[in-house]
Amino acid sequence: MSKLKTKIKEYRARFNMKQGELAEKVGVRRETIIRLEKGQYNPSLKLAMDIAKVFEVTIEEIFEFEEDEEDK
Amino acid sequence: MKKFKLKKENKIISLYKYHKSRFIESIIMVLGFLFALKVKNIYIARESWLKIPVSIILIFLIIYTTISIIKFFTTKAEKMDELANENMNKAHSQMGGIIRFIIFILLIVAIIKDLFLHDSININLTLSSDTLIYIYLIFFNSYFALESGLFILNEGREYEIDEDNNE
Repeated sequence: MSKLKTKIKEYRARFNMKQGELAEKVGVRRETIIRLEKGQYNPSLKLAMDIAKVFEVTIEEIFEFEEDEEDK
Repeated sequence: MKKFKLKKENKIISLYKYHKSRFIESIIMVLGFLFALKVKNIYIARESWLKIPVSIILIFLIIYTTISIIKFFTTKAEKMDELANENMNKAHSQMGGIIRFIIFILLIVAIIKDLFLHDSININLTLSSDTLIYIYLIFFNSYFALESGLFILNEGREYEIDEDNNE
């Protein structure tokens, strides 16, 4: 089972942005951003695109699939 | 004007807190109504002095239910985002599962009674309009309690401000 890994926390630190600020920009709750950062939630394509847009990067740069050893 | 705006913004509570308080209040209402109806049956049977306290409790519960419904419709909570929608959809499908399970159990009991005990389930209810109102309110509050309870169960724990390292 592959797992979605995000670099939102790193990009947020780079942009000096709080979770609440990012949440407000992409129109979700702070809890959603926290769960995304913890890898507990797979976002919709729209949300992923909105987040990538905020950080001015592509989706692939923020989100990546981490494959398990069993899948390889 | 700014202060007023800030005060207004501060009034918006998190969805987790909103559903938690709705769950607790609805559960208290359901238990209150069940307790009052149970005591009502007792006073009808033997303890006539219980009539006034039970009536007061029931009136209080009806007023409180009305107030809490108004409160929950007017409380400003966070907007539902895609995660909240997903959790609410999960909660509704779990509610459907619970209702299906109850119906399934009732059918099993009916079949067992019919096949092995050669008996059937007879529901002979003669309810006054007062009692029916209380039953409707029990269903109403049970729905709220189940919906909010399953929602907060799917949401998991609420993350506090200190979860954010940048803050």
